[in-house]
Amino acid sequence: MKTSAGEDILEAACLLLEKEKSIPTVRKVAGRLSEDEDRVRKEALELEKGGFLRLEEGDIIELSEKGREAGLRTIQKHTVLERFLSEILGMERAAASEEACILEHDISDETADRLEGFIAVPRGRGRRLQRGRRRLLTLADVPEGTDLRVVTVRCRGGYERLADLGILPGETIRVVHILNHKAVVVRVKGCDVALSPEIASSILVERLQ
Amino acid sequence: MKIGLIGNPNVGKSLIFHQLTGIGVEVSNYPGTTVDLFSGTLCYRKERIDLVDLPGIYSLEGKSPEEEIVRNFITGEEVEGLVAVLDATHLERNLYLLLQVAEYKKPLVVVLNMMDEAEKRGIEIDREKLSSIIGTEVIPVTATQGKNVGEIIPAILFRSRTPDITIPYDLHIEAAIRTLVSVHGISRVVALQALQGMVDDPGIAESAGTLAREIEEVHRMSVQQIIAGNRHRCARVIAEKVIRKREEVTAGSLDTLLTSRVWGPVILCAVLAAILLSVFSIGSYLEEFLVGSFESLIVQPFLSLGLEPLPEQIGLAILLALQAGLGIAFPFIFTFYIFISILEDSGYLTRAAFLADSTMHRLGMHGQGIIPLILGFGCNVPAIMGLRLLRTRRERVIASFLVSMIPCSARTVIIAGIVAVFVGFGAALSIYVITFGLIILTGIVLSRITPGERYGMILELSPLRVPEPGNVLAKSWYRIREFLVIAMPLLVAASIVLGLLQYIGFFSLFAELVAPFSETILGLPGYAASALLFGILRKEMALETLVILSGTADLASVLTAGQIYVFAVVSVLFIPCISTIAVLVKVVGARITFLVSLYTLILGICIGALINILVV
Repeated sequence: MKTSAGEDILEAACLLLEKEKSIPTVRKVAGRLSEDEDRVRKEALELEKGGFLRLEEGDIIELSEKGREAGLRTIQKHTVLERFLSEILGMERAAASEEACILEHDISDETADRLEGFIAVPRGRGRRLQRGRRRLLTLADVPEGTDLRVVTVRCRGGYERLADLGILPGETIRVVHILNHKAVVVRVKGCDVALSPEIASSILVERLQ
Repeated sequence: MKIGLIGNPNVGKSLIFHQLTGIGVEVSNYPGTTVDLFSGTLCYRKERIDLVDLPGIYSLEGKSPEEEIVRNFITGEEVEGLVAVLDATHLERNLYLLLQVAEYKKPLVVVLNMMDEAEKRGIEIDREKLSSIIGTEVIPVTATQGKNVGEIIPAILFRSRTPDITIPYDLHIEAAIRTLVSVHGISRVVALQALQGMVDDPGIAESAGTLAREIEEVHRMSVQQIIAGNRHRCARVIAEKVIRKREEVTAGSLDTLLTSRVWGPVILCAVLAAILLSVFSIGSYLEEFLVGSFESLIVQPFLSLGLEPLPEQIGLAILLALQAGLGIAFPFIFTFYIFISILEDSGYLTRAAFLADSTMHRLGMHGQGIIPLILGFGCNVPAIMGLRLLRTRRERVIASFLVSMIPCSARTVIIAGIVAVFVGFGAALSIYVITFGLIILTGIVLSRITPGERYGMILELSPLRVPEPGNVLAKSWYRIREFLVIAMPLLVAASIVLGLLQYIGFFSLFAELVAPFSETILGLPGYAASALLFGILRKEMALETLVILSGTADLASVLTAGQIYVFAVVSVLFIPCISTIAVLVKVVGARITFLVSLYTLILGICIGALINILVV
């Protein structure tokens, strides 16, 4: 079992190895984490039992394949969370990084992937297809007659009006009409609402089964 | 006693208002805005009631001018009661606003309108239950048939109650409300507004802001979204309790046809063309009659009085302004408004806006922008007033340029009156083509260079209905009144000034001064340039003045076909008329008005010169 302290060690060791190209030791890892060397050593021994790493002569940490994967995964989660917190939610970089250090241990792989996908989608229209990633479904991507559930409303200006009309996360809507340039008419609460393309493409939806 | 009618757009509020107040209605501009408030007075058992028809809104907590006005109105001291009008066919969505209204704790009566339509769709609403949940009287009404409308006034006078429903908000929101209420001693409503960043008091705003940020961090949603979500859920719970039967509304085949990709735009163009054609055939017939009888009944007798030259000149100027105003207002603009009101009441106008969204995008606007552009064909003045429909200043600025260039009925009179008659039908059509081409070009350029935010279109498509003739007439009447109130005094004043200028011989001087310029650049004689000057007063006056100054109605005998064509193009394009300038100042400010005038002046002269060089 890896604990959050264990994950921190794997992450730090990975960073040292990949980014700084230096051999990770207990001291260096403890330095990065601002932790007591003895505690790091104790935790590392636990990780050794789990097969994540091996403690060599001179406190050198040698990551196993499993340990490297776990470390990289944690780094990825950290980066995604930090970007999400700072770029999307507007937190300070430093505070976001600190928060990410705590959150990275608890979020699932799926959440991290979805968050990454979310951040990867650029705001404007048309650029959406550039990335090969699994892209999120928006109101502008579905055919007429589809029943949908609103997942997120991402547009900034004037989205209070959307909420007033009932277009907010969790609400079920149906696409009634689509014009050539992707303006849509959706039915929400029995009323038809026309939305222009830039608004339609910033409303993330999922299909109802 | 002051009572407000409040409700979503398209719930039949105005119809109820007209039925309650009759024709004695005042239109007032709310201070600082261009949003109209209709108020009317009625008497019931010796009690005098001032009824105010508030603009249709979706929420009480937005930033649009309409929402602000309604909010200010219902928080006002002198308001003694509110009538909330709900559409029975869309109860859940309408309850959302009602729940917000209920939070203001004003004496209230709920009116369920469109009961006939709800019945037709098999919707049954348990009124007693709704009444007990909200804590006020609920009156079922079918306004189109006038059914039960008479119940409203006695109910609001004698049986209105303060609603006692409370919306259960999210735990965090409730906690924040409690904190704000206990710390700052404000009401629940104000606390809710403060959380949504709508309170100006710095102390309250600061603590509310901190609380809001905390809540947003936990929920990963904005406070507005959370609050809206809670209200919608509450509305849904109520709707589920009181609606016994519900049927999924399917779009009618007519609706599908009207908004279809292929036929939608074709129908839209056909409808607009048909309206313009009928307005001008009906209009020119009526104008001839009106102007003719005004001439023989008033102008001729006045001239035969044989007054001193100065009073006669001034009197004539006033009469001419009145004659011109009436000659354009009723035959053309009023007829046009009747058609537009039919389109609006039938629900087609919102579909037109949706269909036009793609085209309007290229011009830097959204679908709604087409409505003022269409109105512009009648008269630019109310079209400019209609710019308040557009949500951003950017769109209003772009639209103010484009609307000022739309050939209004007065300009059409010039095109039809001289170009079609003396040059040919094809030439008249080509002026339209040139104008539209320039409008499109201007739009494309402006959409690139105008600074400001862009918002998308969020527009409810109002249900398709058969319009009520009474309501259509009332609406057209209010619109024409806007024209009469704003444009007529200006027309009279400007006409007097021009009359005086003519009296002191300014125009022959002007013609002499401008003659070298107008002859070399536009190829027009000096007096034609003076006639263009009159066009600023009112566009088709350019034509009338030209006839007077040239001394003959057979313009072909004094001007070549090329000169007539250039004259028409320049007078159609250059400088909006004085009434348009006045509303422009009111709606978009002096700076933009100046730019619009300068731009159209330069454009008119350049295009005129270009045609003169290339063609003539």
